[in-house]
Amino acid sequence: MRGFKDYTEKTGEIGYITGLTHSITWISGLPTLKLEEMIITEHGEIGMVHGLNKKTAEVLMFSVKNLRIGERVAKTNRVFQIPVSQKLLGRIINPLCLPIDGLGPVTGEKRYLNIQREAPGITQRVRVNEPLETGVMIVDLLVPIGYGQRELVIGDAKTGKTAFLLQTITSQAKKGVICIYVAIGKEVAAVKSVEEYLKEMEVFDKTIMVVSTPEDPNTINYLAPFSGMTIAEYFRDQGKKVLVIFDDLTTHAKFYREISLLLKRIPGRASYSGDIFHIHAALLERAGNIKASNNKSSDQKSGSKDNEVSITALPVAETLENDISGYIQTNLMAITDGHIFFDIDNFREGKRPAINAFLSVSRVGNQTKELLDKELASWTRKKMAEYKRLMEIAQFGVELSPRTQKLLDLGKKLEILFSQGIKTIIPRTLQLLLFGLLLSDFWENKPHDVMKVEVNKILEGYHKGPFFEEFLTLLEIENDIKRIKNLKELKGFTKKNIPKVIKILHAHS
Amino acid sequence: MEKPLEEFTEKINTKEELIFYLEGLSQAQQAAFREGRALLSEKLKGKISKELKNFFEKMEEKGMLSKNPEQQYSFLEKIKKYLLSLPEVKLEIAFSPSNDFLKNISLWFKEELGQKVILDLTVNPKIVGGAIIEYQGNWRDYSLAREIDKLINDKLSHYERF
Repeated sequence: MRGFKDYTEKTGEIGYITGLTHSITWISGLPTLKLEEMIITEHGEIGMVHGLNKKTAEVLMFSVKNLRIGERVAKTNRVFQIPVSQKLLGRIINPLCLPIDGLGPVTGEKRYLNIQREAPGITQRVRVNEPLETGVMIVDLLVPIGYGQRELVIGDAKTGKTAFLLQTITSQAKKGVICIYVAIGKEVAAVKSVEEYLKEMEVFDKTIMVVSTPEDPNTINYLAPFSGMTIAEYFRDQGKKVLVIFDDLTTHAKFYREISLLLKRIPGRASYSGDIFHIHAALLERAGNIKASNNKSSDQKSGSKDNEVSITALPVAETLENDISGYIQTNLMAITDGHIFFDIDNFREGKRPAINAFLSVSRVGNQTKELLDKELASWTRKKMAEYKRLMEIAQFGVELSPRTQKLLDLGKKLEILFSQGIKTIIPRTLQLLLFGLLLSDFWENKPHDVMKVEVNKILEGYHKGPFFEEFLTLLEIENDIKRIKNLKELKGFTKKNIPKVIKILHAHS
Repeated sequence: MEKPLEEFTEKINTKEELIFYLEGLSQAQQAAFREGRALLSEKLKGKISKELKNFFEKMEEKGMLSKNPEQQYSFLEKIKKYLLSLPEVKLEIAFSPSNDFLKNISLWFKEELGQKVILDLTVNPKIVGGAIIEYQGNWRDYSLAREIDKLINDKLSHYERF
């Protein structure tokens, strides 16, 4: 990038910083300055034009080290851009695309991309038609997500939202999806634990972490999701599926509120400026399932999934004591195609993940599912609703009929199946096998603890790898299970394969 | 614009001169209420510059400046506001200019821009010759140093090719 002097000579214009508050400056001069244009000060600090008044321009500066009133400023004649490259994979960068992992500069050919881009138009968009496996059973079954969907992850702090997102990254990165984790205003320790998790799960090299911390200027934090989306678009335009996570947009809104108030914009509800909805909507609108621009295989059918590329966005919203009626929370719920609700009450009851399937919605995810999944989801939902209702009655200590007791037992077993550790990723086939076992009464008359142990044993067998017999047996079952079309077939199939399952369970005991 | 005011502003070419006259006007504002109802030129006899005194006298002759202290104060305020609204041209040159040179430059700008400007002068011998000009956010480098730099860079790039 050229310096202040070059830009002054090139553009023939100069400006001066006339006002300064934290990372926001007001500059005069530069008569042809445009919105979102990048500016550079004589000390090399860069900024982005955020607003234009009659005599001054509001500029968001991305560094506050050498700023002072009277400092000279040059315009660059280009919209604010970040350098994106293939080599960003496996790196931790700040929103300006500068590495912060201490591994040296990002090498390779770089492309400078606009940070603010228009979302693909309606003609470019394609219906969300392919399921995205999160590896978390309760979500994949009851709140399914599709590639190109924008699903909000909402819940109180420390209820396991990030853990779920990391499981999703792990599941998707192993399938070759490019994953971008955008941490907005996250503590360094939290970022470090995300990094360690991804490294442990061996997916770090397929992930890009865009990190801004509370120590960074609020402008940098404001920029973070836009950087993440720009990087996602770069990979999408190369024909890759991308998953981008914004952790979290309520914090982002708070940083924007700070900026807006410093800019003396009229505060609206909860002191947020009125354009916060537009900002988040414009950001998330850039995600979606679209037609691939470079028509590599014109002989393929137009509806073929190979002709489509997608950005799946999972923004996060934090709530306080399960209150999902907050301003930003409701905004985001309106913008996205559904939400996964992490219930603090579930968390306190010890349910992991603490997802409340009844209050979670997936507006377009269900259309991606096969008949079997839909049948299974409907059956599970019904049984869980019955279980929840009966639990309320059972707590009064009344004598329960054998049928009610059976339903309660089934409900408890469903809870056991849905209970999942943060490092456990369950693929769809394994989810079907476990449900098939439940449906075929494999755990009938067995204590819950035994069921827990057996479920864990099956999962362990799967994650042991190809050198173990259990894994090979499960692989065999997996291949057959993919062909199953409905619930009845699943029941029959698992009944037939129970001897194999018993073999797995007794492999090392 | 009134002729006496035009003649008075003609005398102000640089930012230093502007500051000097603004200080004089502020001083006059303070004196306006001090000696009751009297002409401003009489109140400030021997306390302000010759140019300012002449300007006040001319205005009094024209009847634009009465003996009323309040009217005197608001008149001076208007003059200050007008002077501060004059556009500024930043000029970086390599030598200390003479008064005549400044007058000529000021006149040239007035003719080119169609209005009176105030010159904010910086002397920077490093630019060798010529001038660097800034006006309402527009910046032009007509310095000799730039030409020399350009020449050297062109020559260097020419030799680098071999």
